[in-house]
Amino acid sequence: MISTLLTRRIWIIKNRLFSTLGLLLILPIFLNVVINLPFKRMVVSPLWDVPHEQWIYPGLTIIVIVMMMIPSVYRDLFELRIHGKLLPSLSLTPISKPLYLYNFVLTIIIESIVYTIIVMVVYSILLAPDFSIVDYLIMFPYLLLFIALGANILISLSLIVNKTTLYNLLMLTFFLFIVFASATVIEFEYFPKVIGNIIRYLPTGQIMHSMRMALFSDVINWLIILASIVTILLWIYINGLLFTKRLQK
Amino acid sequence: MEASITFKKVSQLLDGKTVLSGLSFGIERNSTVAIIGDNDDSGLTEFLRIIAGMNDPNYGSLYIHGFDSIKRRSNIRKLIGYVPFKNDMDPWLTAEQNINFINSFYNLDNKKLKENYKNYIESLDLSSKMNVEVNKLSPGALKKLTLLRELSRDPKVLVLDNPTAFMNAKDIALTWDVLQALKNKLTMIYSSTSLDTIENNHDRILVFHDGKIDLDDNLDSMLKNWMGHYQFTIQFEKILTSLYHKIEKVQNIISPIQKDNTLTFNGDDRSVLLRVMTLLVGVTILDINIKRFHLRDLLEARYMQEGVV
Repeated sequence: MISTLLTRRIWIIKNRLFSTLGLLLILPIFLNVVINLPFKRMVVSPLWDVPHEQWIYPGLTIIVIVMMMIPSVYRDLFELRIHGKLLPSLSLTPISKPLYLYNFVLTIIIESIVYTIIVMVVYSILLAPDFSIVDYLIMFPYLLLFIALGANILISLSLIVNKTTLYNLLMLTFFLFIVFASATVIEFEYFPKVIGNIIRYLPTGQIMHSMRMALFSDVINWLIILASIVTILLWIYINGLLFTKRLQK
Repeated sequence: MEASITFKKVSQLLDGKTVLSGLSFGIERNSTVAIIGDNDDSGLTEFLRIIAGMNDPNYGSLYIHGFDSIKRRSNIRKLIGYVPFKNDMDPWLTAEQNINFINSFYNLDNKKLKENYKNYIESLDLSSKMNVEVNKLSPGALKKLTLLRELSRDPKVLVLDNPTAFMNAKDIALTWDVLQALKNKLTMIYSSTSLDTIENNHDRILVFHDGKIDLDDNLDSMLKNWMGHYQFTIQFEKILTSLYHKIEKVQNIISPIQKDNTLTFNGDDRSVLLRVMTLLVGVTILDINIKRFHLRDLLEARYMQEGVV
């Protein structure tokens, strides 16, 4: 089934090749101009004692990937569901609905991995961070965890919300949360202590924090990795149930 | 004859309103069944959706080719093809991509699938549409594409919600040519707003009224049972009451009515008119009119009082 879903994603990208590729190249440049350049001037002392480009590199990458992921999930789940397209036919096929959803999550992750590699290359050129190959290899699994978590949040919203206006509002809130409250470009220390402590312990904040610990302090927190994996798997299971319920009627 | 679909006390609620009420009947394998009903067609669509497997019945059981529709759902999926009223194709894919995507989940014999697919593309005149994104196609073309998608899988039961809706005259003819070629090869259940279409394409007509099946037979039998096939109107210069009483007693005459100097009666065939004519020697006739009854006349006569259909 995964090959069928991947083929579908390839067809969709192929049908809109130039806009997808264009977006994938323009977004990192745009975010570099509007986020990285002003933040670099605002931050007086280097965070984690590493150059600003190195510190912000994983955060910016995540923001671009999330931005690329939003239209995919919107299109494949929310829009199709709201307009009664594709999913009714799909619900009549002999495949299991939760299995379809699990494979759908996997497809989004695989697609995002391809985008991640492209964005990482673009930012490696734009920001020129002083990362070794090992640093990239350490960063990659954390990015995957973040992508899987983000994909599940987006899928849940796409399955729960029925109104386009509310959905758009929630997407915007989710995006702002990823940019400003997940330590992608603003460290927890900049928030008032209580708020900083709350968002630090959210799954998104935990993954970002432990990635920077691994990258800049050489400390790998296996407990957080394990907890994130369990959270993601549970979330996928719940999304499977939600998807089945939605397709039943 | 073996049953293709069996309803056992099936009832369905929609927004708290009973749209199907205690349906118990069977549909023979490889027969063509047309359904018509109230203007508020929610009951009909719901009926088709239940057979297609989109919805489960709230009460009762449904069997398709002997399989319980809920307990043996996986056995049924491959047997059914469903063409919904509105197209449900993915707007981001081309027609061909859409069809290949859905059909790939059925694990069917690829060779047979491709062969059917190719044949139906030709019969439905869709070759120029296959590589076009579906959001650029007309609703009529999309309806044909949905039919192509379902037929290419060689279903044993084909459920069609207004199969020619949104189509132009040429496409309607093409589509019915294809569907008529499948007559007696699969069980076909369809709804249509075109009574002429139903009249020409059915083994059986189910007329729904208030969530129940009010009439269930083929048109010939229904006409025979309800009003005869023909209506004869004879306009006399002057008709005597004694003559009218004689005509009333003619064999097989149905509902004779005398109004002024005009006599109207129904009959199953024209021989009734000939029998009446033998009584009219020496009587001056101004005009004779023969009308063949159609489905519309039957429905109008039956539901005129209730404003149905």
